[in-house]
Parts: sequence; C-alpha cells; structure tokens
Amino acid sequence: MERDGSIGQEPGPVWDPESQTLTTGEPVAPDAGAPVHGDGRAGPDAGAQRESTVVFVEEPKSLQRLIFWNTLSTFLTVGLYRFWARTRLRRHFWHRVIVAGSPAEYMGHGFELFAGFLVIFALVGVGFLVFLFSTLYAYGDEVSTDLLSSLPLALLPVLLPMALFRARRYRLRRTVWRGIHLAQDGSVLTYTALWVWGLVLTVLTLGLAYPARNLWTERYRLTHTLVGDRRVDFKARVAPLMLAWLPAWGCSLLLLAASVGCAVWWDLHGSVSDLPAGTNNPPVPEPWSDFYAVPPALWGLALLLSLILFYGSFVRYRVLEFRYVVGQMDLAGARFTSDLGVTDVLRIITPGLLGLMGYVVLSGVTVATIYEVLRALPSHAADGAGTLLMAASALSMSVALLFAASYGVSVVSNVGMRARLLGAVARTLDIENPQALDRIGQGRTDATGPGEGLADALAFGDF
Amino acid sequence: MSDFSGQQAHPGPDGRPMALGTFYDGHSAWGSSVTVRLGQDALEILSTDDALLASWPFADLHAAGGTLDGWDMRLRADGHPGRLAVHGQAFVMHLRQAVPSLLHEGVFDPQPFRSVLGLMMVLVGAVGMVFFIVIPLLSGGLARIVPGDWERQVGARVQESMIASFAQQLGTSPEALQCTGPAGQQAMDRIVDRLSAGMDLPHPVTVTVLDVDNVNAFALPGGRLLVARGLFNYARSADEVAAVIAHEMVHVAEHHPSRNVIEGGATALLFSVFVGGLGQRPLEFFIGNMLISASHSRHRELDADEGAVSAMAAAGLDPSALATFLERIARNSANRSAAVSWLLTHPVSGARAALVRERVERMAPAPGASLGLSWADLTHLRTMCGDGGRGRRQGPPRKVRKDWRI
Repeated sequence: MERDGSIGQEPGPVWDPESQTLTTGEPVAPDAGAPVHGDGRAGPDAGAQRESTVVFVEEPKSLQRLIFWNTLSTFLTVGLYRFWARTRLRRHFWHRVIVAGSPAEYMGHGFELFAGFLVIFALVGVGFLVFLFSTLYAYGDEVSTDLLSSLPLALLPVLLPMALFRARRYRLRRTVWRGIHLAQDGSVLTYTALWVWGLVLTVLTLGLAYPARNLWTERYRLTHTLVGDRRVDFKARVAPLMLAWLPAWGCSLLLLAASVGCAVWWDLHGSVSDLPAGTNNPPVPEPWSDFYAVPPALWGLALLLSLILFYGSFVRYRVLEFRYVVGQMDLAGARFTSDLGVTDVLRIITPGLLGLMGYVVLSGVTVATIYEVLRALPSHAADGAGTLLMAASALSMSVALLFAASYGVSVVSNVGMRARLLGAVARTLDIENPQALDRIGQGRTDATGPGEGLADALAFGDF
Repeated sequence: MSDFSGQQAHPGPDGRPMALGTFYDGHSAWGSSVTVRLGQDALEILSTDDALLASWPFADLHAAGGTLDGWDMRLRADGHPGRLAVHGQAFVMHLRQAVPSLLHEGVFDPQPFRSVLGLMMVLVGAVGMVFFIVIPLLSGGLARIVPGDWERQVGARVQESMIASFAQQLGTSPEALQCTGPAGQQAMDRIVDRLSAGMDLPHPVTVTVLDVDNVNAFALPGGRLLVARGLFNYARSADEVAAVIAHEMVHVAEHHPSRNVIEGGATALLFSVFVGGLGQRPLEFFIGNMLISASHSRHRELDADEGAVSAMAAAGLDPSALATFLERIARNSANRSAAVSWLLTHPVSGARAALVRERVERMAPAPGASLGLSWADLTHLRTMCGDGGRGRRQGPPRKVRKDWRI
C-alpha cells in the first residue's frame, strides 16, 4: 500500500456483499479503510494490518498555495492575520495525519489565538512598559542599567517553557480524533521548574546531562497527555539514551574547545594589533602562547569541522532519542515503533537549514542597505523628483523583500522541512495492537480555554 | 447489499439518496458501520438493522477534518460529539447541494485573502484611531502627571550621556565641549528670562551651549536645552536665536520630551501587536514605527513653532524672526520634496517657514515688539566658546553625527 499516496487519486471503497466489508483499491482514505463486520461494527480485528499505520499525506502544492495566500493576507493586514494563518496551517497538517485509518482534526479558531494573544500581551505589555521606564530612569547609572538589561535574558528561560507548555496544552485541547478529544493536564509551574533545573544541570555538566533533561521534560509532557479517557503511559530510562548521547557530547566538547580557541586567538590578536606601529610585540602571556602559535586558518578549520561533526552527531542522537521515546509509549495498550533513519532526516533538514540561513543573511544585507538609503535620503537628495524616486524605490524594495522573505522562509520551513519530516516519521511509524485504540472512550477534560498567547507574545509561536 | 460508493447515489426505498458510512458516536473511538440517508432537513444515521442512531439537522452540519476530496467526507454536527465518515461521491454532491454552508467556517475564521479586504478596512480605521488620536491624547495627559523630579533626573542623565558621546566623537572631554563664556551666558540668561515670563513652564530652563558647528538645538526632559554654537553663527540677529530658544522652550512647556518617550513606548508596544510579538518581523516593525513616530514628531514641531511665535510676541521680541530663520534654512538646504515629508521627523523647512510667516502676519503687532535684542547679545553668544571673537574656529568644521534638529 502507498502509505503516503494521495487520497484524491484512489478509487472509492466498494461494498463487498460476500465478505460484508467495504473493499477498495487500497483504502488510504481515512475511515474508509476500517473494515466493517457483519454485526455492523467497523472493528479492528480483520484490519489490524491496515490499521497499524500512520499516514501523512504531503500534498506540497496545496501547502504551498495555502502558504502563499496566508503570507499575502498576513502582509495586507500588517501581520494581524497571522493568527488565522497559523490556524489554517495547523488544520492543513492535522487533517493530513491519518492514524489507524482516521485523520486528526484541528478544531482551533484564529480568533481564539488572537484573543489569547491580547490577554497575554496586556500582561507582558505592562511588564515591558515598566521595564522601559525603569531603564530610562536608571539611564546613566551603570549598575542599574546592567541589571535591567540582563533581566529579559534572565526571564527568558522561565517564560520559554511556560509558553511552550501552554501552547502544547492549547493545541492538544483543539485536537480531535474520531470525535475523541485530546488534552493535557499537569502544572505549568512544575514543568517550568523541571525545564529550568534540566537546563542548569546541562550547563553545569557541560552538556552531559542533556539526555536526562530531555527525558524528564518529555516524560512530563507525555504522561500528562490525555487521549479521551486514556493517559499516555511512558516508561523510559535515561541510561540507554546516555550511550547514544556520548558521541554527540564528545563532538560538542570539540566544538566548545574550537570556539574557545578562536575567541582567545581573536582576543590576543586584537590586543597585539592595537599597539602603536613600531612597538615590539610583547610576549603573549604563558598560558595562551600555545593558542596564539596556532595559525588562524587552522582555528577556523577546526571550528568548521567540529561544527559539522556536532551537527551530524546531534541529529543522529535526536533521531535515536525519538525512536526510543516512541518505543516506550503506550496508549490504551497500543504500542508504537519507529525506524526513522538518520540519513533521511539529515537529507531533509540540511538543505532546509542552509536555505533558512541564506534567507537570514540575504535579508540582513538588504535591510541594512534599505536602512542606509532611508537615512541618507533627507540630506543627500539633489531634487524633489530624485528624492521621491529614491524613497519610492527604497520602500518598494522593503515591501518586496518582506514578502519574499516571509514567503520563502515559510515555504522552506513548512514544505521543505516540516511536511517532509512528518512524511518520513509517518512512513516509519507502526502501531502494535492498534485495535486497543478502539477502546478509548471520551474524556471529561475541558476542550475550551484560552489560546496560547504567551508563545506569540514572546515571538516563538510560529506554529 | 448494493454498491453505495459509485458515481450514482444509491436511492433508498423512498428515493432519497443514501450512502455507507462509518459512525463514531463521540463516546468511544470504536466505529460502527452505518447507512446514511439524506432527509428533508437532516442527515439520518441508521444502523445496519435500520435503527435511527442520530439525526443531524443540516443547519448544524459541518465538514470535519480530513475532507480531502469529493468521494469521501467527514462530518460533524454542532451539539454532538461524534463524527461521521461518508463514502460516495454522488452522495457527497447531494449533501453539498442540500447544505451549501457545509464548508464554511464561520465569521471568526476568515478564508485567506477573500475576507481580508473587509478585515483590512476595519483595521485601517482602528489603527488610525489608536495611533493618531488615542496615543497622542493619552501621552499628553500622562506626560503632565510624570513627577517633575523624575523628568529632571532623566534629563540630567540623558544630557550627560549625549555630551559624553559628542565629546568622544570629537576627541575632546565633555567639560571642554561646553561653552561657559560669562558674557554669552548672561545674554542667554536674558533671552531665557524674557521668554520665561510669558510661559507656563513646569521646570526652570537651563541652557547648555556646546562647542560644535552644527546648526541645532534640542530640548531634553526636565527643562534642559542643548544648543550648538553653530546656531549663533548661522543666526543673523539675537532675535533669531531667541526664536529658536522659544521653540525649544515650548517643547519644555508642553512636556514634549516626556511625551516622546511615552508615545515611543506605546507605539512600539501597540505596533508589535499588529506585526507580531515583541521581536517578530523587525523590518516591518522598524518601518512602521519610524513612520508613526515621525508623524507624531512633525505635529509637535508645528505646535512648537506656533507656540514660539506667541512666546516671542509676548516677550516683546520680533515674532517674524523664526520665519526669517527657517526661510534661510530652507533656501540653503537641499530642496526636499514635500512628497517625502512623511518620512521625516521634522516638517520640511520651507513649509514650516510659510506657516510661521502666515501666523505672524495674522497677529496684531504686540506693544513693544520693536524692543528686540541687541547685536552685542549675538556677538557675546558667538564668542562664548572662547575663540577670540571670530565665532569660527580654524580647521575643518567640528560637527557631531547626532540626528537632532531644531
């Protein structure tokens, strides 16, 4: 069966009077694939093989079309449409994920996201204003200014997990499968404490505790995930992950060493070349002389190589971690297995990341150019018509750049990476004992609640 | 059993279209095989032994997730937790004819682009109201309740930091950059005193003259004015200097520096609601914020010009001096087109001068208007930086790169 085939291409299901089942040329179609028994139950027994699949229907052209209209609408409304755009994007993805023959549904509305954003924005906004005025008040006082300027950085590790946990709760509450609502319980504060503690431990151990941190937070998220009346069961240990992490950790230390080497070399180089011409270079202080003896190109090469090594080994670890986590999940007796390939993932995300980096660099250069043109405008314009022309070209360039950058980034991250990655994950994911999923009952969790304003207010709620 | 999934909708015993489906009752994830019948005003869901399981009114019916093509459709109904998957293209076509709103998603969920024009019109009105009416009104009120001590403290720190930055640019010390010639200082005090008498100032005005060739003056919070020595050389009379000082003193009287801070913060904050988050889309943020702030600033400059004309007249000085000064700037500067004026923080000098001239001409001559300042006052001002009465130092112009304007 073409598990990632296009639904629209398949013939419809046909009722087979002899076997009393709907038969089709492969029923990729959600629900249509569920065999129907003589007793009128579209049960799982005969269809275990067919139901043990997760399918993601990629449809890149339809996604690209959606992104185009989303970008244009967001653009025309100076960004306000983004809440509705995000909702439509989610709907596109959710509705194309077909689990055991039935698609997921996204029930959220753009207006909820907008309202949630306004609520959080009012709170964050007040804090921002207080911060702004405090900074002005402390203007010139070095200690207060330093303290104030480090405040947002200090708050970020607390606000980030809060925002992510809340956003996930919202998304799950708006997710329905076969009419069954998903939900997330648990405390935002506990999750945040766990997240921050994991981060501190990771930093203190120079990254060695990274798998433990990931597993703790993942365990909290998963064991507080509800599908109807069933809670996801997750029994995983850190030990198997540690072994998988060691190569990536080693590479991270190499990267750290190369970065420190480059920074120290640069610093020494700076202090030496700052000396007036004709002065004899003073000897480089003893502990650093070895660093300075290494030619700069070698440091650069070491940095590049260690970066590539770390990237490869880190992606490898994340894939292994994903496979392990999936393998330890149990939902109502159904279990999952994944044989997602490291090279498949690398092949998808590497060009995507390079593309995004290209866009960032290109946008940065163009923004700087436009800024300079606008700045120079009033003082260097020779005549009225020339000034107008320059202003008009600078502004149209900005508009064109903004649109191209928004559209390009969205296409690369959604079509090039997210959809292809989901496709790869779905192709390699299997459900053992899928008939157990039929036993899931409706939960009693509240499907309403505010939108995920915090993530958007802090500018990391793109999806 | 017949084939319900072909191109023809299977007619039921009473001729109504029927199809096969899978029904999830909303209580469990277990799916039942059902027959679906198109009723008069509802979709009827029947079990395999023809018992009516549910009847979903057309008015409550919506397409649910995963409706990917014509022959297979998932449905839900308001007030019912269940889902129904219907198989059969012809049946789906009948259903869509019976329920034209099946694929509509409600007013709170507009389709991209199609509904955006309406949204945009509402937005343009709302944005205009907030940015150009609500924020300036609020900032005017708020600026008046900002404690005076706070304004003076901020002003002192901003001044210290600006002078330090200029001194660094010119390779000199902050102390050496400040002009303290006693005769010039006295002339400036006379100007400030005469103007202050007729103005309602929240702070005593203190003027610091900087030894730079820019033609400029700037009002900081707390009644502090920074004036560049270049201004004295460019002016042709002490009244012209007084007119510029009067303009800056109106900024002080109207709390404009504090309003700038409040409006800047509020505009940045509200603008980020539109463009997204506190940091998303920096370029849109930069351009939009720049245009809105520039608009606020231009209005304030015109207000200050108008106030300066009245203050000059009230102080018995020549109110047309501001017009004369601005006209000279307009003649000597690059010919800026009014078409780009919306990009600038200050109105185009020519247009400003014309407005000031018009206002002066409408004014009845104030008694004592002829009592202008003396030529000696201007000379004292020009020499207060201690360069031997020439008013210009040797060597290249000593200008700072700070975008501050009269």
